Amino acid sequence: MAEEKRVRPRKPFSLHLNEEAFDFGILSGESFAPANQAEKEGFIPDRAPTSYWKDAWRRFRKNTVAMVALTLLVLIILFAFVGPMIVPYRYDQFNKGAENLHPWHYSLEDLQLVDQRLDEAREKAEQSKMTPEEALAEARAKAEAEGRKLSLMEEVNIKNQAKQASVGDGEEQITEESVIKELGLKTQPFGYSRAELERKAAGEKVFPHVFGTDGFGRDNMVRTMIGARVSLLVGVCAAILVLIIGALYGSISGYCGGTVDAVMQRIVEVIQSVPEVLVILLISVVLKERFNETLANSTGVIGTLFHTVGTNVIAMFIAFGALYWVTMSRIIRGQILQLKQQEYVTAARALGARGGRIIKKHLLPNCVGQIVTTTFLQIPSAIFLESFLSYLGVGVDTPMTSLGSMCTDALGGMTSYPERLLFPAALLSVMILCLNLVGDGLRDALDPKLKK
Amino acid sequence: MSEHTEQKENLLEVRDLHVSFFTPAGEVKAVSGISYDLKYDEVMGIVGESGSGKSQEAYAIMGLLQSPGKVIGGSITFEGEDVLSKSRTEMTAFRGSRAAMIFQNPMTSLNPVYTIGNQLIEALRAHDKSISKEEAGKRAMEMLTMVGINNVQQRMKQYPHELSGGMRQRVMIAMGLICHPKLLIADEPTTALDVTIQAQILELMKSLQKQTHMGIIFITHNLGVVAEICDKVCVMYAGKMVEQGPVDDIFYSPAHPYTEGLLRSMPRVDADSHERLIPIEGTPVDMLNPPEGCPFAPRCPYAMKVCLQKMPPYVDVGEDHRSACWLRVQEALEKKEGKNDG
Amino acid sequence: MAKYILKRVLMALLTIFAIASLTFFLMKAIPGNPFLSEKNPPQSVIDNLNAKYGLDKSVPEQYVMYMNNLIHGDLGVSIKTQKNYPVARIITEMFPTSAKIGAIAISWAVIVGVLLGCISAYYRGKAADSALRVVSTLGISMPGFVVATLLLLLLCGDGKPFPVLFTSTTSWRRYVLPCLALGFYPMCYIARQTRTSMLDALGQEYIKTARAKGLNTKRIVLKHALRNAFIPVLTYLGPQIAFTLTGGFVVEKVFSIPGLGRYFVQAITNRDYPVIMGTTIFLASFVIIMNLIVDLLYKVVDPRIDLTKEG
Repeated sequence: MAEEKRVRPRKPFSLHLNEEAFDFGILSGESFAPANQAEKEGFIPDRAPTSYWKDAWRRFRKNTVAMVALTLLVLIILFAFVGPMIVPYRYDQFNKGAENLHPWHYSLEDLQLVDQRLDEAREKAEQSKMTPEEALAEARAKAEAEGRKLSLMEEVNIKNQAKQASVGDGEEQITEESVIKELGLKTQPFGYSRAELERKAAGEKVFPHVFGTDGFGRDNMVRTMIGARVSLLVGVCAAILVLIIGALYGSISGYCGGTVDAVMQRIVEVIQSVPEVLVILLISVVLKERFNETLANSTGVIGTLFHTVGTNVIAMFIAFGALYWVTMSRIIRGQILQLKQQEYVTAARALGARGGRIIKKHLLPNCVGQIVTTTFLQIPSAIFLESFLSYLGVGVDTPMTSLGSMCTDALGGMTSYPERLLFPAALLSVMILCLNLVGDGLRDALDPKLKK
Repeated sequence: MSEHTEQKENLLEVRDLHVSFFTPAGEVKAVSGISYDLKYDEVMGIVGESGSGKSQEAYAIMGLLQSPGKVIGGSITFEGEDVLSKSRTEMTAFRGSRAAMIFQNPMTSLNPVYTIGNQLIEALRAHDKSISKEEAGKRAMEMLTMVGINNVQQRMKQYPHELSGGMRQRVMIAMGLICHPKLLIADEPTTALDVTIQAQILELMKSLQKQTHMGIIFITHNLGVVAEICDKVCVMYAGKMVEQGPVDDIFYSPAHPYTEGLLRSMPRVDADSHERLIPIEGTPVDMLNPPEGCPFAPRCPYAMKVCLQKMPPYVDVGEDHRSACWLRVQEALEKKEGKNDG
Repeated sequence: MAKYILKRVLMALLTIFAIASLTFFLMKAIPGNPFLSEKNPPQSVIDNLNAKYGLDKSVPEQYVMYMNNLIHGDLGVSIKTQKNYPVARIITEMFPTSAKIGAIAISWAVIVGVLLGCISAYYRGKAADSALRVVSTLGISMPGFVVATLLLLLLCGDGKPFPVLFTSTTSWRRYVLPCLALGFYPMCYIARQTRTSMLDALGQEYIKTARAKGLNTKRIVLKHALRNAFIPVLTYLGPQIAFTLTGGFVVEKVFSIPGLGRYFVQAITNRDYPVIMGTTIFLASFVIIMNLIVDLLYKVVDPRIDLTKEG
């Protein structure tokens, strides 16, 4: 043993143990026997080996804000994807007689009451309205009964008064709203048209227009659902697109290095300093026109695709895919440059592993957390951009809809029908908020730097 | 010397100090039960591997523990004053003026966006507002000269990134000493530096200590550095103090297998050329779920059954030399029995 | 330094050139003639256009002509909204209003955003921090048109403090809501970034040094952390300027502000291609130049950035 080789002899220990403070009870005959290997290994309690994802999920669950956001997000996804199956209206279905409904209604009895009132008022108005001649005759009859004759002056006055009254202005206009106000009727939730109320009264099951309807009688709730679905799909597809392009570009640039990397990075620099939204807007506007022209009559696979998705959306994707991958590629390149230096990669290369294999097996798994987070955060930013483009009129085409285009459509009747703007705008905001919060939570949960 | 009577007093007394971190995963006992005395003019080394709690112990003295870290037991007495009961303002005044600390990485320890001069003057004026900027600048330049920096006029105007690592550590030392503290805590001040620079910085600290007679706590994982500069050593393992004693005793008659292991894994100039460096096998314990017994037991070549059951008590193995190891307990009991028999 | 500036200026010029080229080829992709409003114009008009833009020449020749026109500030003429009115004149007339609103918006966004971010970081984990985080995340989740329309619905009109129409008054009040709406997103974004970088700065070693020196918390936060935290915030300022500019499209539309943004949106609706192209090139160049300025500002704030070195 090394002890024998010690240069200076060890000083003998004086060895003083404070026996008063020492509990001899813990010692038994066996105590000073050497511990075997198994005992030593069993000494440290094994923490259950948690996988990266399990560990991340554990951390994510502890993040209350992110969990609430995730729950809301799941609800929104259910609303967008399951909702339209439950509601019996289609998003492009014109419900005749149910145009411009508010998300509330009055009961059938109330409506009848209103009608009655209106009729009465109308009758009254009819009655009170007399031609100047009738008024004159009435006044003459009255005067005769009183035993006198009307002067010429008086006759002219009466005629003029009657004339003015018949033109209107003289009395208050009676409308549905004023009657409802006067009667103090209570609104009931959800919109029904009159015909629907009657059918309901007749025992038929009628699904309410929970968010009301638009000017064409289309059910706003279904449109909001479909709009949310389109927005979500656009976001997810854009994120995947960004991921694919960014990951490919970034890994090639980072892995190859040298001149290839330098050239590729100059290109990235140029794209990065381009104001994306502006260029996306430009590309969308132009491509839409081009596609409409070339694909108007095509019936092939691509043509069908364009017809179903809409040229605008395709143009948007192309524009998005052309510009938004830059951040992703930078992240992946940075990660790869960092990881490239590490020994296990050198070892793999020394063992003759090929480039692609090294990227797949060694590099990507190490930056997966950051990739997932960045990809996920692309979803809200894509939805954000989509709503912006739709708002400016170069987004999703009619009859297809998205939350952004619903907001634009609602602008016309904003003062009378504010709910048409509020529902999709609120859903859009809440959706992006939840996506952002979940994304933040993901970043916190997946970032190994925070792992302690 | 006017302070002569004071010299025998303790500058710093740490008693049964416990520091814990309350993480979401549970309580981590970073420091559990450390006690030592530091006299004026004495240099003590705290040795241990990373994560052994040696830095946290020092932060506790300086009141620099960051949430979720907390002192949960024990006492720290500095010149007869209870440090732990000081208010936040009192601690702010205490730090820098009476006790100073320098850190491991001089690359990141200086604020990159302010000049050296700015940061030095700030350290001085934080404790004495009455010093004018010019006066403070003069003092700062004196300090820089003292730590062996030339061209001070120009250095004062430079930013940290314009200096080399060794130079920056000199600046850090100057900054620590500018208010003439009684205690300097150096947290691995040479680890991040090149070997030649390391030697220079150690030389500097030694000479400064001789000039200023301050107490120094030198935190390191490098026993070689300890031999160079320290009067006594405290060896820590997994938050516990396993051995403490004068530097020669620790080096020539280590009383704990961990200390032995540290010595054996250290290259020695005076050793036989045949002697191999022997690394300590295994990894440190999980601080989140520390086991009942001696934390070093799983890695200890002499581990006994009792080691796995209970932490050993301290045994005095020499003058000011203590060790917490069951081997020493066993020997002490045998010795007593031998006496009783004889 | 000079070399770095030169490099950056060249890079910016290259980017502007790339955008101009992209614009040209996109224009070529538009079916029919993008300079014509009518389907079948009289031959004289076609001849005129051909002469001006060389539309009968080969594509490379047209490209050279187009670029030449650009360099001389000729961005073509509007074909719909204000027929035959030069795009360059439209821009010079419309842009000042947009720039004014954008400048006010970005200014208040930076000031308030940095402040809120600091507060949030300082009270990390406390109620104030949570509240500010939710608000700022909500802020970056609400599209500009939602914010603008909400403000319009709630605060504009008769009996309310602000006018519906920007042009209906000359009072300062008309600027309040557009600037508020436009600055809201960048403010929230900057607040989030400041919080992150502030926390990052507060976790640095030099903060430990500052604490060990015996500085009080106020000084540590305001002197040592803030300056370092502000540097990454500056990085985000460039993109935020671009964002504010495009955000202006929506805000100007909602508040009926006669600025370049609203004009641009109208041009999109009317398919007024020369206006769309010209405005895009102009705004893109503007953003790129602003980015360049922000990048150069680094040197002032962060002495570490050695501009003489590459990267």
